[in-house]
Amino acid sequence: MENQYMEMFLDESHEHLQSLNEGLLKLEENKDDVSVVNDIFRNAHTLKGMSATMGYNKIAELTHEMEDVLDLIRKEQLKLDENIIDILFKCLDSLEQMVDNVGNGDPEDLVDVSDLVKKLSAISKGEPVPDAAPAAAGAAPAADGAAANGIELEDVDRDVIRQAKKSGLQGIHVKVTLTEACVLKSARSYMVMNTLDELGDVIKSVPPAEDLEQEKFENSFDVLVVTDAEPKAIKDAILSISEIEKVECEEVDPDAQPAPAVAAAPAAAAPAAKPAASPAAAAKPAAAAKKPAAKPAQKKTHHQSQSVRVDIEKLDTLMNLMGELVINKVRLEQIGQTHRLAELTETLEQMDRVTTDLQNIVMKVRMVPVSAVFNRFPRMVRDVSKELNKEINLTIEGEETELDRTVIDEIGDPLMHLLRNSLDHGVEHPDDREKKGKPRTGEVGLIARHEGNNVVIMVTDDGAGINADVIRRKAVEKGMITEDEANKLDDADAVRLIFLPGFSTAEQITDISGRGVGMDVVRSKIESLSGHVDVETQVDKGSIFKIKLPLTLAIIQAMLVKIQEEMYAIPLGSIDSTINIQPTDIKTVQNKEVIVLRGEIIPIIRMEETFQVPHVKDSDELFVVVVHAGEAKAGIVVDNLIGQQEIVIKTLGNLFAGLKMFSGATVLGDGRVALILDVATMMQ
Amino acid sequence: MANTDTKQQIIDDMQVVAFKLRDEEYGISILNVQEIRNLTDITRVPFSADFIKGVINLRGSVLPVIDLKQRLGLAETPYTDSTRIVTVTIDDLHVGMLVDAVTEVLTLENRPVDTKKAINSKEGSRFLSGIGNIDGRLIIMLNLPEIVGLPQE
Repeated sequence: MENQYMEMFLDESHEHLQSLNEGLLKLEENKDDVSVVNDIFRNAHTLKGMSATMGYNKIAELTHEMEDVLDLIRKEQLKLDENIIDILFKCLDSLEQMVDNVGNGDPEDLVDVSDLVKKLSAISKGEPVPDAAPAAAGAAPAADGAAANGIELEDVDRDVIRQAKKSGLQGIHVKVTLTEACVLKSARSYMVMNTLDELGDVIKSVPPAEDLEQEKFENSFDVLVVTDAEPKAIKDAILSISEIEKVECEEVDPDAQPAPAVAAAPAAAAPAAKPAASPAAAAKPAAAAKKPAAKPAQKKTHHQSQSVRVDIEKLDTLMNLMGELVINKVRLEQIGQTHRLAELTETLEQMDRVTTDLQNIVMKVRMVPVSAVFNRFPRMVRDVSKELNKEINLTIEGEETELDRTVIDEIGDPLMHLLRNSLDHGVEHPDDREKKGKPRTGEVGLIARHEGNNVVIMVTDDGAGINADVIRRKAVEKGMITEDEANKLDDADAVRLIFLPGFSTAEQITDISGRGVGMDVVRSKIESLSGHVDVETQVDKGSIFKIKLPLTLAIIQAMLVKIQEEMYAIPLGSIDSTINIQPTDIKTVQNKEVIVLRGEIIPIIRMEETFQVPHVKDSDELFVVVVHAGEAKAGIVVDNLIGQQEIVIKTLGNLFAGLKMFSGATVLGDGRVALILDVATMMQ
Repeated sequence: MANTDTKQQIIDDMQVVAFKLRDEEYGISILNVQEIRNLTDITRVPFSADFIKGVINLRGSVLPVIDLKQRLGLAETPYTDSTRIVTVTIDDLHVGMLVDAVTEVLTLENRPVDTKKAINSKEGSRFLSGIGNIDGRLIIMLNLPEIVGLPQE
């Protein structure tokens, strides 16, 4: 199945699973919301269709069962309860695993879903849900099916058989048992299937054909065929294959009630199955009555924007081509000016507007709302808080904030870690919270917002906070710092020690967090994205983890400056202000050149000297760009300010690997390259 | 690996892009050459290695340019109308090389003389991989991985 649809299938499956997760969470809060059930149902249905088309029968089977249950809920024939929701969540997990397996090129059936399928079908039949079946359940159906009917008819199968009946064929259920001594079970089953194929059409088999090929069955298996052959003929044909113990053939009545799945409890199941077996009839009037009411509700269901998936590389290429276009446009403009071609200049002005718009759009295309990562957290918080027996309310704000696609792809794991950390170490157990006079339910927040040229994402909790003294003690115990050093740190700095490698304060190691890899991994990840992470905390009040990220890695606002004849770009995010000074305004303090700005002494950096820029002309006027990195400030002396511009960052490549002074280069409108200053490095 | 590749190519017939640095003629395998461009504005990169002239804009991406004469220890000459930037690919690395003029594309039939013997072990010789001889015209073949400073086995 290595085809071009694979990618699309995986993407879309994940999308549908995500919607399913979200929907279920909503349902859990409000169990009577029919419009949500409708949404979920549609998602499950699409997922089933897709996986069936791709030939992933297990996924299709499980989603089909989910669909059945959801359908009953939708028709209000089944009351949704906590138990059902839990099972549905588990289904989603299994589905996700299967989709992942498929994506990794593994077979989908590494995940055993037979137990879930059983539970679901029990629910939809109104039977008591069987307790967790033994792990061997996968092989069981074929074995215990010996009692009566090892094959379960689905609507589709019934339809096929009905159709077949019309054309004079009949559906026959064949149960084949191999001899105990049979060695090549797969070969025998293959021969049986072949024989049946010659006699008619095989609709389905239990276990499915792939399992038969891999010998994933006991000694018997069930096949449903549509054929014009007599049962007797089929029996004889199969018995002629060696090592066959016995063959049972039985005509299948498509309109009969589905055989109970749990054969051991037919008496109990039969009456219970009744209402489920006749939903088609019973549901009709109910559904018909429902219709007018359901319609408006459906209209309100969320508007889905139309979108196309695009390879990110194509966007990069698009952006490069865009740059070329702009450069050539500038050349044309120059030709127009030199030759005084008014007509050309006018046309180019038009073109200028178009290219500017085009450029803007190409850049915007790369931006993705953070909801793309935030979406998966409500589910995680639910699971983790259940696991930890904590009551937690997650608040998400600002999920529409946009970030560059590359950042979005990387930010998920660090955020997940911070959240888990807050859930595990931050928020206390409900009882402890009560003792402290806090509400039992802990509040955890995930907040994104713009802050200048940055996006800030905060993970907040109202939990125990971090005790600076505990951190000091731990750090000394682990030999990371000496006692003296520890005592010199103020509380805020002491707490920041958690970002050092090898620091984990977890008293006991849990599955959730505290595996020794911790905050330092978060920090290095964030820093690799040119971001910054910090923490504010108050004991018993809670903690705030604050991640500051550049809006995009690819496009930034920058100030273009000129030093003699060379052009450089300074990221606007690190610029405080620009001022115009006379050379005499520069004073020296302890042999270092400084300027005084609003009472503040700011050291200056003369770029011309630092960069050894060829000196062309003297200027009597200087400009100082005041930049900051963290708390520190510096003034960069330049000859001229060209202006503020959106620039596209390009890497300088391997040849300049050791060069920390520049964070990259950019191509300017006239086709020349300008280097982008890394202010933090420059100030060191 | 790169080294053995170059040797292999030298043994067989090979197509070579020949260019001039001062009065001498040099060559590199055509397989490495992407394109030959007219001189454009080169942006100097402070703190970079001496032999790196700077970076240029190659259709929207940034390409480093090596000053070959500087790298081979030849004296500098001013840019002329025939100055070109030859862009080459070595493994995954794209670089431009500044040359005085591109002369032609040649086919070397004979195995070039081993430089290690032919040239006294001057500093520059590690950048050369051999000398081709076409009717008395000498083409000095360049060892590209060494020139761009890639580590070699």
